[in-house]
Amino acid sequence: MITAIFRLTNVQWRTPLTRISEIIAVAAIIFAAIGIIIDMGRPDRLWHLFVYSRLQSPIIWDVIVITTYLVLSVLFLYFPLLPDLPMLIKSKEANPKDFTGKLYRFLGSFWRGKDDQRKYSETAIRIISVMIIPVALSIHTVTSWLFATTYRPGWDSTNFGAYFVSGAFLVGAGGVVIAMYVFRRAYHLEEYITDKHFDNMGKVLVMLALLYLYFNLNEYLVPAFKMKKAEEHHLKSLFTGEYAMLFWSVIVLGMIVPVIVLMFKKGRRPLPMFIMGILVVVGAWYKRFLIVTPTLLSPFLPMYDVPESYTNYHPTLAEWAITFSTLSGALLVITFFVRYFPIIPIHETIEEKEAILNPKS
Amino acid sequence: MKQGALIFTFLICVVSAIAQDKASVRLGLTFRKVNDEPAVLRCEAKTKAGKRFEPVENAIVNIYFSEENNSNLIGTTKTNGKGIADVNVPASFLTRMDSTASWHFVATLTEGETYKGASAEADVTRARLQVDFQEADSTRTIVAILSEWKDGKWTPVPQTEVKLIVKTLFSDLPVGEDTYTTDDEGKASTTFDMKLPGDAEGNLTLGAKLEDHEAYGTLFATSKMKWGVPTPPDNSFSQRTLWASRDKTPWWLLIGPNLIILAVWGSIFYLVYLFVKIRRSGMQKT
Repeated sequence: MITAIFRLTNVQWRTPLTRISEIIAVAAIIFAAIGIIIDMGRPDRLWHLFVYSRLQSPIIWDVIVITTYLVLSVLFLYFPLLPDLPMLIKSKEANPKDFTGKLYRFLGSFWRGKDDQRKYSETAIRIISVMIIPVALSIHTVTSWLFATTYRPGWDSTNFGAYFVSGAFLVGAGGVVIAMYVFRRAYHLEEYITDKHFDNMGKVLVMLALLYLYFNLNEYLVPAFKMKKAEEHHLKSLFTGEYAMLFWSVIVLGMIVPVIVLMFKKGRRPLPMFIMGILVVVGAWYKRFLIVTPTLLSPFLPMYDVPESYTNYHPTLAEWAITFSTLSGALLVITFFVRYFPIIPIHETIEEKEAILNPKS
Repeated sequence: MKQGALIFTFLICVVSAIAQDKASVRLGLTFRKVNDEPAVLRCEAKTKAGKRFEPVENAIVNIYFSEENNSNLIGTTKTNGKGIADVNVPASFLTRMDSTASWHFVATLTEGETYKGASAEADVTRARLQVDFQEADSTRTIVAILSEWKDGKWTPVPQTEVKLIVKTLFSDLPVGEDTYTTDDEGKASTTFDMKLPGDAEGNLTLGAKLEDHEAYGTLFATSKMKWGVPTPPDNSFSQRTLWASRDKTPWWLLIGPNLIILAVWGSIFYLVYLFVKIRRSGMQKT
């Protein structure tokens, strides 16, 4: 979505960041879908979701938007990649039996850079840039509705859609910053991903962190002001109770500290940006934990005569394994992509440089 | 030889240590009767673990009438996860029970791998609790009548605490005060002026309850009365609602999202069409 907004608003410095954002989006959405299938507990019954779907159920809305977003994200990665593929094919001409050469030919041997091809491709990219914004908004909104359509304390909120969208914006930008730093160092891309890009992304991150802070303020301060009986246990467990340490750490380290550090020009240099990116992403992960767990431990109906283990939660080994395997899987997809495809769009960069050299053309 | 003797002694020590480690069980036996249904004998088995009691699960319990022998065996059962085992008194024992004014029950818990055997006894005086309803000049009254079998007839039991209740989904709702004391006629009563939702015809289940009495056990009498506010059953499940089955999706939810899905996926198919055009154009020989 960040890429789409940059494209539509014609942000000039976007080029080296677009493919990084797109591959992060594709990897994340693939494992978001797989994660949901695993979490449902019976992956063999996945087809039931399609055959017996009820449109009244928010889980079906999630299935629909995730599938749509996955297809659009793949297309958004593929169309801008087309002009780069002939260069990749050429680089493998010496060894025609090489697997990567075959892969490049399969994906883009038909790209000749003809006028009509460029016209169709530009139209497609423009359509996707427009479409992906509402679809991305839907995906985060529908995810929030999975919670907000219940009456549970902490989830029963009209603020939830915007709150989740702003949270996704922030973690997405944080992820892009981390990837920018890692790729720049690993592939020595200092000439393409410059300090200026970090500086600009730092400003974007400050704005998004402030936006998320604002929604957090709404989400917690308003219910705390009223302190309804049903919400009391949940809110106190966050503010002063069992989860207070984690809650305040997330707010301070995941939002306030990045805002303060990134307000200064020195804070927007690559290394501090990378550290702030990590704080944002780790903070965002714990934020999701805080959204789900304390609410589930604040029962909607009174609980009595239950085993002691029902009143607290510690993730099991299987849950940790699922969490880390989905994260590793997403990183693996990104790693494979970067191994075989240029993470900086070659053709777009050349065009940009030519435009600078020959402004009249 | 010496080694053999040592191993044998060690094994004896281990076996006796295991035998000694078996936990003592505290077994309780109570009597319970609801209306004219068969009486129920309830056993509760628990062991002390540290400072608290824990239920004994899957323990075999035998319950006998009068004394412990096979001809008096009322039933055999297993304790559940809460350490509770219930046995209904079968009809074959009713004649024997009706011939006496008090009963003696014995429960034995068979020794298990981790707990010792235990037994419990209960003496129950034959009693009955009835509930009656009166309605005069728009005043509704619930009356509980408690009596015991004495000298060949039912005799009122005075000065005993009984509860007057309305049965609800999860628990019993007291009518008026928590408990009422029976008078010389064995009666306890209160007026009923609660406005409670009943079934479609306004039926409420009202009753009287004597709980864990040392002589009579637990007695429960209930009856249905049309003293509630008639509440029509919610049959919206068969209409087009958010909670109905998939073939009864509300029209607005069927049309709106499907139009959006069609528009979005129509555009995606257009993108695929553009891709096909790019591919065809590239394949053409110029």
